[in-house]
Amino acid sequence: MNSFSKMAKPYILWAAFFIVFPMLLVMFYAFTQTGGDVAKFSFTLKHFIKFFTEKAFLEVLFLSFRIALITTLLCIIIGYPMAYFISRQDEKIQTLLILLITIPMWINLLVRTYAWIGILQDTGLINTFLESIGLPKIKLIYTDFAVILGMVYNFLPFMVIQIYTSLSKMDKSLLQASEDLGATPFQTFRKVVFPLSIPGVIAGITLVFLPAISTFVIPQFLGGGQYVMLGTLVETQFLKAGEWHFGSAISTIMAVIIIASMYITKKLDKEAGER
Amino acid sequence: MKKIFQKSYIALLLLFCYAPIIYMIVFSFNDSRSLTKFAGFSLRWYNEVLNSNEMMKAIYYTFFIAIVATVVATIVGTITAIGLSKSKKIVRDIVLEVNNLPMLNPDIVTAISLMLLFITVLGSGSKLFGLVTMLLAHIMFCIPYVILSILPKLRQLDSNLAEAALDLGATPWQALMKVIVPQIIPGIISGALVAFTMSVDDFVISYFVTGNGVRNVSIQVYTMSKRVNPSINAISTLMIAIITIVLIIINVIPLLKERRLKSN
Amino acid sequence: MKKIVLTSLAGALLLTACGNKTATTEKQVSCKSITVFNATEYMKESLVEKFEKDTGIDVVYETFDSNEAMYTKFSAGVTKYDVIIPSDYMIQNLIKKDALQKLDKAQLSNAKGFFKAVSAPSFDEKLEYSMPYMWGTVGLIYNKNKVSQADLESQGWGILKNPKYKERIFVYDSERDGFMPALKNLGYSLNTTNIDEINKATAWLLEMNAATKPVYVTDQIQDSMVSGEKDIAIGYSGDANLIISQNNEMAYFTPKEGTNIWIDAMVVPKDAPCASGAHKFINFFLDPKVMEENAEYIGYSPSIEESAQALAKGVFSNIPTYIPTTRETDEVFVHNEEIKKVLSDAWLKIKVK
Repeated sequence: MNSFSKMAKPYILWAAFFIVFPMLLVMFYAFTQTGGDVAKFSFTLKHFIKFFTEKAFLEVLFLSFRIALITTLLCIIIGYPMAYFISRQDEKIQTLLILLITIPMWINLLVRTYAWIGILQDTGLINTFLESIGLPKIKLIYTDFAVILGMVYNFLPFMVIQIYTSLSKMDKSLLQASEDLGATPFQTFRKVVFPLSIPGVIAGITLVFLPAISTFVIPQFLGGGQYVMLGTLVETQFLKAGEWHFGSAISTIMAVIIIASMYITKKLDKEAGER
Repeated sequence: MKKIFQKSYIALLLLFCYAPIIYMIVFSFNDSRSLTKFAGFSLRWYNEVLNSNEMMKAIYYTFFIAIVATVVATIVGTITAIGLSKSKKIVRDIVLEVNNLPMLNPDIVTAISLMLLFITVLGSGSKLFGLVTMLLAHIMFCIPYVILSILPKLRQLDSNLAEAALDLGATPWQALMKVIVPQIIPGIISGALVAFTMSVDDFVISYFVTGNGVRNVSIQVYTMSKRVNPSINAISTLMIAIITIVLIIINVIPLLKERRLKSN
Repeated sequence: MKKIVLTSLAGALLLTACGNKTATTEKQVSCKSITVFNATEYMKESLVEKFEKDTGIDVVYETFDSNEAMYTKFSAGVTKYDVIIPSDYMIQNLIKKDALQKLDKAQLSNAKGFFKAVSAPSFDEKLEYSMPYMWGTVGLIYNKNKVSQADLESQGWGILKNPKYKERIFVYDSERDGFMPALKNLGYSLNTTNIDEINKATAWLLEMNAATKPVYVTDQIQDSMVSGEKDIAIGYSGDANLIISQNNEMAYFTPKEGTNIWIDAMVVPKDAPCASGAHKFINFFLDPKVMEENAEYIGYSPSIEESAQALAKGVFSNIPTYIPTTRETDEVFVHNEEIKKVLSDAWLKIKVK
């Protein structure tokens, strides 16, 4: 067994260099300030205090978590049946379907988002259609609906892929056994299939929730500039305001909150695993 | 009845996934500059893309980087995931936490810290900025996705299988290739798919680590959005066309082979 | 391991702190390649190819989507650039940071015939460091059929607060262009450093937010105005040109209180590896004929009067505001690190309200 565990060593070194070291740099920035124009750094907590004492920043934090959570939930609700149905198709078609779901993601996010603007805006596809059949226009763009639609659209494939992976190549004899023992299809699903797919669901949640919290293109374009999320905030600090220290502090706060919530998810995962 | 329901659900969702893509393709033939107001059919944006060295190079770099990064990340990610699954719990937990960092950090943070890292190591104005730095960066942010995709599959795996193989006299390499890898293939494939997607779509990190005029399609698209024009749709449609052709070739060749075998 | 991490950490910090102080000294005269850093779609590619053919100098072309992104990459020193085309306030910042070299006028025979408004800009009054490229103003892009001319004339920037246009307005999402209308409408300088005036402008913007519920956008302004999504938008005159040429219901207006004059200009960094090539490049693009062809492609108004006049009478004759007009009260934006942070925080609070 030891010979296998050694296989992780190179990556641990790589991760230390490419992930841990840059992260240390970010944390260093988060806890320091530059004194005047001389390259002197001094320790400070003021960026953290600034973040937690300003209502606007806390609102941004709250909004980001809310949107990311809703997105993740919707992705599970819509994506799970999709993954399950795909796994019930012919083996040959399965791979094709998964590919078909992924290909749109290979088109740049910005191009896809512009297309959504074209579909959703007041003078866009849907509203032009409604108008032409004599119905009143509906306000779609620059609303919560548009942002969540854009987010779900963008992240759904990741959820489907992960859940599908855990469902595919499932030991068919288990299903057979369950049926032989007189379980209804629903019971088989609930007692056999679903528990086995939980690791995939967790991986899907990670893949959707983590990036969702820091996206900025989708909320900015479909929700308007007033739709500030954490990703936008950090981006603004680094690029527009030139406040690297504050930007680093915000991403440190984000990382801490998320690692904490991941820890909780993992505990839940473990409990589910033991069941 | 049930089959019909399943099939229509799949079809409906696929329609949702492709609605913006169809929209994008339609507007790549737009005669005006607009991305949302159609003014008549025209091939002018294709003309512009095909005549622009910069854009053709961008397509080339995008695929080159995405393919190399995906292959490297998938191999490294698979090896690491298998290694981790056999490592001590504490090591595994720490590595997995660290692994999540690039996924949760806003891109700009990863981008700027990688840029600083490369400048420290390579020196300012290095000729390696461009393809090399972009490849390293893409490999770096792709590996975590691969590991994440494979681990659930490894957890489903019966851990006694590999041991049994070793007991029966298989070398560790044989046990790995003949017993473990075949079982986790779906995870490897989905990891590679996600990695490829991430690489093709990345803008912020690519932008800050590149240099010497090397640009991928994402950089082209983002910096272009200032002065909107459908050439970004045309370049995307071309990419979809390339991907579709490749997929058809990959799917058709085995079929042809099968047929030839049968006729023999 | 720990030691390595710490040393490299220190190294990285030192490097960011020093920036580009390790400037190279004068290089050989006959260099064969230059690196240009410009906003995308801001130069006709075939002209760059023509320059390469004419001079035998290779051009490596890099692009940025904002002055700030440009500055981050430039100051980090990823690549050494020979020519950069940033905006006014950023050039001022670069001069202050001692990052630019003085241009050798002897090598710039085409440096003449500029519009008066750009020939002595506040950030570089003698054009020692920069050569104007494109220029214009910030104003209101509006739908002639939906917005009354009388409202525009009488209310100026105040029209943004007029409930008549509720939910019909796009505001440019940047603290710089967002605060400008408020400051100007209140009669202050757009470069004010007076916190009291800034607070009043913040209150003005909050009122605007409540009265007209504008949507804050940046890049999609062009496309959305072409399709007539809103009736009024704060925008650049160059973007207005592009919008009007695609939708003739739209027009451009600069309020009487005055506005922001912007100038994008070509500069050469101090550590440019090939300054002679950079000068040749700049001179090439200052040629009135080249300038005209280039501006026709981009759609913005060029800095050289002759080229602009030719275009205003020619391809852009359908745009009455093609050549920017200026007033006494107009100002060029001035870079101020401290004020920028104040405005940036205030802007966020205004938006999320």
